[in-house]
Amino acid sequence: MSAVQKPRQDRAERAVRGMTGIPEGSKFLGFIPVDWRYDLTERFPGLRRVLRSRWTSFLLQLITASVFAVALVAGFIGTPVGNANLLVVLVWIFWWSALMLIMVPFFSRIWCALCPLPSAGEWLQRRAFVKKRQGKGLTLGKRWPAALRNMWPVNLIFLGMALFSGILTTRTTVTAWLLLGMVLGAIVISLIFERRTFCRYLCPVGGFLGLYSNMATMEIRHNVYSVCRDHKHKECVVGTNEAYACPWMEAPTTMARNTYCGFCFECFRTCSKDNMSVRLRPPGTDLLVNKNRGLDEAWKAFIMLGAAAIYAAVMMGPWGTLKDWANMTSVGGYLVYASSLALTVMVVVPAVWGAFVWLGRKLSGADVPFVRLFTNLSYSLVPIGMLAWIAFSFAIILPNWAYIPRVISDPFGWGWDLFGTAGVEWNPVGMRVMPILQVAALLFGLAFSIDVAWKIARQTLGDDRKASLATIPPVIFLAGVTGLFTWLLVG
Amino acid sequence: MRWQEIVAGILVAACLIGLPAAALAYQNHRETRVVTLEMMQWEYRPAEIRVKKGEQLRLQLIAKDVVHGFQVDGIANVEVRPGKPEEVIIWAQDAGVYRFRCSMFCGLGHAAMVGQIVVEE
Repeated sequence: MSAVQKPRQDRAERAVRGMTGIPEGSKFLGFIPVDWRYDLTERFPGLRRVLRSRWTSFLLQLITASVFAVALVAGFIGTPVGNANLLVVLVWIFWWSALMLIMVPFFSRIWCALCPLPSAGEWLQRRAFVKKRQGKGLTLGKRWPAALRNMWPVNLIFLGMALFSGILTTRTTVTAWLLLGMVLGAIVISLIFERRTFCRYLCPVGGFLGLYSNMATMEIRHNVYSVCRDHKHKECVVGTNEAYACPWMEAPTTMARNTYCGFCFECFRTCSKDNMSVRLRPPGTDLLVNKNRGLDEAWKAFIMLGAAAIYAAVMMGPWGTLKDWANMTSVGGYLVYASSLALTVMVVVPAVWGAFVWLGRKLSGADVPFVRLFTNLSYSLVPIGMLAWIAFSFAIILPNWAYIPRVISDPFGWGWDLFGTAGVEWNPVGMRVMPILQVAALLFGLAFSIDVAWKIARQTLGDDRKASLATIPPVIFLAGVTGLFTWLLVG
Repeated sequence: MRWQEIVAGILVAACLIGLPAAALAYQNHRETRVVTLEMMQWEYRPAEIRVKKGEQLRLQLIAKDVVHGFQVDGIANVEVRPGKPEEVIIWAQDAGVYRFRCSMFCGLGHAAMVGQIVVEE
């Protein structure tokens, strides 16, 4: 068996993948073939068996839910000193770093398969832990309002949380209340609405996970399109007696992007044709999918990019006043901080980006509507945004890793030493290489963003020369953003 | 399969309720020294607390007159209001003398409101 498998490139397959306008043999950065795939489930048949088992999802959720339960108790009654409390260290140092450095770039939304927050709601809704229970679940099963079936609610909820990040990340009880609130919210939504409505339309984490999972090197897709096309009974969409319809309300047969795929593997369990695959692929593939792009996702990209810059300034920068404002030491200062953050991510970043796109459109003489070009090119902000967060996350994990073994042995900060690691000294590692890692990440993000911008421009305008001219101003913007992050994180 | 759901239910109960409960039970059975620390203008009573290394110190903080603070650098910083006692748990991990002081301005003698925890080998 060949390790590198050529994807099936029949017309239907290409249409489903939605990459219209991308030339055959296109390569990312000139050397990674866009259509390269490596089917893990074909290479390792045992993996398919594991993914088909209903116990896999249950046990993964149970493990994270167990840790979460202890952490939540620690948040409420453990030490208020953040770096000695399991909840704060687990969420804001370990989970965040693992999410941005490993899970999202390599495994897409795998976190959604492990996340403990919706577990209780889902178990109640299904009235079952593992096996599918016949009959109606414990839910009204309503559909989410059509007008809100987008990323706008998530954008606003995320922004609301971002405004309080200064106290969220340092105060144990605030973090605990927030997470408990999310668990309760997920339960209420599960009892009213169908399937994983909370995860898809309301989870503040899910929004950026969805957008950045377009960069991931892993995907779940159908294997052979004609098998799905000819299979009249779409089990993955309607469910079977043994397994549920896609909890994320996706149609796995035509799914072209990772954005709303929660990696729950339910489609593996419903598909009687065994036609689902987990595949490795080049990063960023979904950004080229010319299907279902929208302003809601564009704004998510602006919010994440702007928030990364502001957090870098507040948390890593030398400006004590900014830190005080974010930490709510005075009402006036906090209002200045919160309004600046909201204005920056919702208005300033999109307006500046819009100006650069408008210039590019003028320069190229393109006749496509401005909003279409603006929306499409906004997806080129995903690589630089994600790599900026990766650079930011290096500055979280490398100096603070020692808190993790400490709280494992002493989760409540009560002086325990369960595993003999409570006395691990605070010992930052890699401080000399950290700036190099950060600059390398930012430069990779810049190169990737430029490449994606050009490919999207070509896809939108259908002409190499016009695409090159239209890309010039956005490239200047991207270079400026890279310079800003380099200055904030390293300079 | 009904038995699978029963097993799963037992696992869920054991993990989500059992683990936190076990943690709290473990804490309650540890060797803990409970000390009531009264805070008033401008002194702590007692001003010196002696514990053995490895011992856990559960300090019950009571402000008798105005708002006071209890700060041990890098270990604890708690604001205590009259009529609203607070509790701090300190693990005496290393031998030494640890100074604590009032961190809320409580009047003219505020600066003199200090005390110490002595951790003996």
